[in-house]
Amino acid sequence: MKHLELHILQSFPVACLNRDDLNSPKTAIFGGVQRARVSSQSWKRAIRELATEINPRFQGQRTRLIVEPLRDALIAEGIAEVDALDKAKALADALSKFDVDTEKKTGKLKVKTLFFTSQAELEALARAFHETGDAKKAIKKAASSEILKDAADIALFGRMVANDHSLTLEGAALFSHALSTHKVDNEIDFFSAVDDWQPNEESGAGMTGTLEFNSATYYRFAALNIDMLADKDHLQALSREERQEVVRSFIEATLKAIPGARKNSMNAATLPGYVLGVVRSSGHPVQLVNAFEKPIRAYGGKGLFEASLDAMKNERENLNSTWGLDKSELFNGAIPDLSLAEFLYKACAHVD
Amino acid sequence: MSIEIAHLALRLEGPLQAWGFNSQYNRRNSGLLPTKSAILGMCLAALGIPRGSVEEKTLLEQCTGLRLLTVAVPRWIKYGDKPAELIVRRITDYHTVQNTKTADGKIKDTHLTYRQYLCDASFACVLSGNISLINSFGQALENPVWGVWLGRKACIPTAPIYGGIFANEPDALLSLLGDQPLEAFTHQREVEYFDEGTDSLPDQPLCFAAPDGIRKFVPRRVALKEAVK
Repeated sequence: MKHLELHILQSFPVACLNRDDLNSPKTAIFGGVQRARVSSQSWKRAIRELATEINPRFQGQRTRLIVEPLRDALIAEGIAEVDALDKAKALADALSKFDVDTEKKTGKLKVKTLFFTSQAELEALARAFHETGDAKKAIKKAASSEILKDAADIALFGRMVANDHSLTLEGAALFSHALSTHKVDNEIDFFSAVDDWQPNEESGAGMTGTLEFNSATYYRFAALNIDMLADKDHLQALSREERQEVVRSFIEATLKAIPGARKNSMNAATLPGYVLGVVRSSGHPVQLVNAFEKPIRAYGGKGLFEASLDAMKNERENLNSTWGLDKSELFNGAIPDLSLAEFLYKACAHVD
Repeated sequence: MSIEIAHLALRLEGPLQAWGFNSQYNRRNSGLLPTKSAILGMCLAALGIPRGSVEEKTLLEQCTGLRLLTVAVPRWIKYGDKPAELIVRRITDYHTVQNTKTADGKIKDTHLTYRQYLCDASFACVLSGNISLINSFGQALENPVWGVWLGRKACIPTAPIYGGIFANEPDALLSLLGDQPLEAFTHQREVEYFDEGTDSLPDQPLCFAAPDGIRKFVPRRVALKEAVK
C-alpha cells in the first residue's frame, strides 16, 4: 500500500496539553525514563476540529441526536408525518440503539452511543429505508462512499459501529501517541491570587492552589494510507483533485492543531519546528521514535530541539540502511527546507 | 500424510504496545505477551480481509492449525560502557470521550475508558504451519493492504515487522534472536496436548465479527517458560 508519513518535532513551553484523571499531564515510560505524552485521541480531536474549520468537507459529527434529523429526512422522502417518528426510531435503533429509558424519563430522543455521521449520510440512510422498508437492508444499501462526500473526517479517522458492522469504517489515518524526546518530570505550579478589595491591614492571599505542567519537545507521528483513502468504502466518490484537497487539509490541520487543554491559562501555542514527510509506494508506516529511546540531552550549545533533530535524522539513515525503507520512497521533503505550501503541493501530488 | 510446514518470523518493536485479552467495555487491558488473536488479526488485515466476512471465517478455521511461539526480547540501553536492561512496564491511559451532547444540549456527559499499554517491550514471534498460508501472510505483512500496528492503532512499529519465512524454527529464531538460545528468553509456546501446557488462553479466534456482531474465541493450550539466566 502507498502511504504518507509525517514525522514531526515540536517544542512546547509550560503546558498541560493532555491530562489524566488527576489533572496531571499524561506521561509514559520510554527508554526506562518518564516522558511527557499526549495521547493520539487527544491530538486527533484537535486536528478534527481544525480540519472542520479549514475544509467544508470535514462535516462529520459525533452525536447521539440522530433521531430527529432522521425523522425530518424521512418526511422529506415523502413518508407521512404520523409514521416518520416511529420509523426514525427503528432506523436509529439499528444504527446505534435507541435510548428508550431517556425518552421515558425526559421525552428526549437519543441513541445510546455517539454516532459519527453527517447530514448527507442521514439523508441517504432515510432514502434507503424508504426504498427498502427494512432498517438492516437500508444500512447495507447506504454503506457506500457516495454518502461520505461531506464527511472526509469519517474516512480519515474511522468509525466503530457496534450495532451494525456494515457501517464500521477503518480510518485511513494512523496516529501515535506523541512522546517527549527527553526525560520529563511534571512540575507543580503554586499560585496565589490577590483579593483586590482586601483591606490593607489584612495579610494573605485571596486564594491559593496548584496545578501541574511540563514543557517538552515532542516527536509526533501520523500516517495516511493513500490507497485505502481512494477505495470504495472511503473517498472513491471524490475526484482525484478533491481527494488531494482533503489530504492537504488533513496535513495542514495535523501540523497546526494543538490540544485545547489549559489553552487560556498556559497558551502553549507553537508550530512544529521540523516536519519530515515521506511517501512510500509499499510497506507499512514505521515511526522514528527509537531515535529518542536514549533520552535526548542538550549538548555542545545545542538545545533539546536541535539535538532531537540530529538524532531523528540519524535514526532515519539507520533504518534506511538496515531495512532499505528508502527503496520504495516516492517523495521525501521537510519543513522548513520547504515552505508549508511547497510541502503540501509536493506531498499531495502523490495522492491519486 | 505429511503437510509442508513453514515458519514466519515477526519482529514486534515499538515504544507502546497493547495485547488485549478478555478486554471488554471501558477497561482495555494488555497482557505481557502478544496474543494469537492479535497476530492473526494483523495477518488478515494485511491481506485486506473484511471483518465478519465468509473469507475471514474460512481463513481463521485454517489458522487453528497454526502454532505461535512468542518471545519477550529484553531491550538494553547503553549509558557510557554500562548497558542497562529496560524494565517492561504497564501504563494505564485515562481516556475520555467528551462533549457528548445531551438532548437538551446543555449537560455534557463524559464517557471514561481506561486502556493499558506496555512500555519498552519488544517481542519476537514465530508463526508455524501450512506453507501456503504462511507464505500468503508473509507477503501480505511485507506490503499490507490495511495497516499494521502493535495491538492498538496508535501503537506504530519502529521497524518493519516482517522478519522472513524459514523452513525450520531454529533458522527463524536465529534471524530474530541472533545466536542466543531460546532458553535465555521468557517465551510462550503453543502446544499440541493438554499436559504439555501450563495454561489455556481464550485466544484462538474463530471470527472477529460475525454478522450479528459477536466475536468468537476458543481456548488454546500454551506452555510458558521463564528465561534461564
